[in-house]
Amino acid sequence: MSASDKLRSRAAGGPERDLDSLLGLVARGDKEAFETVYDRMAGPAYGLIRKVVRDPAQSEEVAQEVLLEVWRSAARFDPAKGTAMTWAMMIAHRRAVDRVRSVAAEAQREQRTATAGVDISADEVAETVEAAMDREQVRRCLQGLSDIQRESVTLAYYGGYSYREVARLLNVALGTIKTRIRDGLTRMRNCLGVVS
Amino acid sequence: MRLPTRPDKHALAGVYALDAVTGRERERFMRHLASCPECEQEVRGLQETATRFALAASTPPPRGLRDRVLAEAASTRQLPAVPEMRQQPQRGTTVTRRLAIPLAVVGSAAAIVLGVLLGISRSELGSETAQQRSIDAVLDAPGDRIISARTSLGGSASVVVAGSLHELVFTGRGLRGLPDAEVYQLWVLGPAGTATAISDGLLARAPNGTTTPTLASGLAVGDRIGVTVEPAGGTAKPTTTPILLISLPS
Repeated sequence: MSASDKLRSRAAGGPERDLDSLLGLVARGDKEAFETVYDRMAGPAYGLIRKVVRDPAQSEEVAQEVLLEVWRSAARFDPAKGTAMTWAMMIAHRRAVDRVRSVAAEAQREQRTATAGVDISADEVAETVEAAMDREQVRRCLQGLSDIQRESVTLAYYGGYSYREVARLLNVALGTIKTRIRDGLTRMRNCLGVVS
Repeated sequence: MRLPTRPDKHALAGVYALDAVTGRERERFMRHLASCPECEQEVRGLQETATRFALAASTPPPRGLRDRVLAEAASTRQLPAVPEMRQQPQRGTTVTRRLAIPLAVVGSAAAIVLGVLLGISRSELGSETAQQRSIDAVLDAPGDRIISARTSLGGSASVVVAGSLHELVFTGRGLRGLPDAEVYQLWVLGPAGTATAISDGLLARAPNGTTTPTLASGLAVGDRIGVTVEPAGGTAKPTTTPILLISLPS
């Protein structure tokens, strides 16, 4: 299966569906299913949290909270509202943002500004083929955005900034940021072939 | 550049999908979503797109993490699916029916889903607090009732109403983290529009989103319990739409 076939199969709901049903088993206390879910979710969760939080030790703590939350709340996952991976990544993003908003992290925020942006290859260590494909595709699609779309989307998501903060950082009107983020994300959706 | 012909509520779909909108603005958009299926559809697609950003950032987690998470999971109780009635169906049904009316008044019925929950044990609700004795008195009172509701921001809350109907114990669970500048505040809302903050009014929240059980006394018929998001330090009167509203049985 070629890389693009594999991505298409994912876009069509292939492996993601499996994860959805695994989460159903987790909801019933199935520990083996949870191990598989962990193995699928831990990399993306930890990677995303690292992007937002930066500090490895704090990121690890947040990742632990998030993955445990997946176990605790598995029964609350509603497949009608999105995939299991998206549900988990929303929890991960929220917890990561909560962490950087704590007072202790405030001092580091200014520093992060410079690095939170587009360079998504910065933290690479060993990675799976699948992650490499995702990375490559996202990178390619990001190139199709305007500068302001790309910066605002990545600052908001990887940087964990609210759109009001993004507007301040980029010195652009609030309404413009809202629109650019929506347009940029829509372009990404089309470029990545996301179906929902 | 094309200018929108009207203030476009949908414009928040992108920032909402990226979790980049906060506070009241976020609440307003959530209410809008509840009544706008195409926005919901759009948000879902954009959220799935955001997930691809997460997958692209995937990084092998530290080695010890897997064992720690699995060990912790083995000793962590899972939450029930959607709060639902498990016993005493007749009483539960009445309570649910009664709750339907104030929901319509709030005008965001879709955002606040109410259910009756009897799945929370008393030992779970009670832990060491200053008001422990009074709380225990409520929890142990014969004929008390447990009402549970989900908040419009996620998470849920349950109230155990004493048989006397003058006191209750409130516990929030799975409440979302708030920015430092905001807190959850608990109110008794009287039928005539009065609002009384409970004790210091703020809910002490544990990292997992569970609040310390909080006692409210001196309740009267027709009172409701509400939770709002307020500026840090709390306010004298609610300044935002309640994310949760529970009518007390009468």
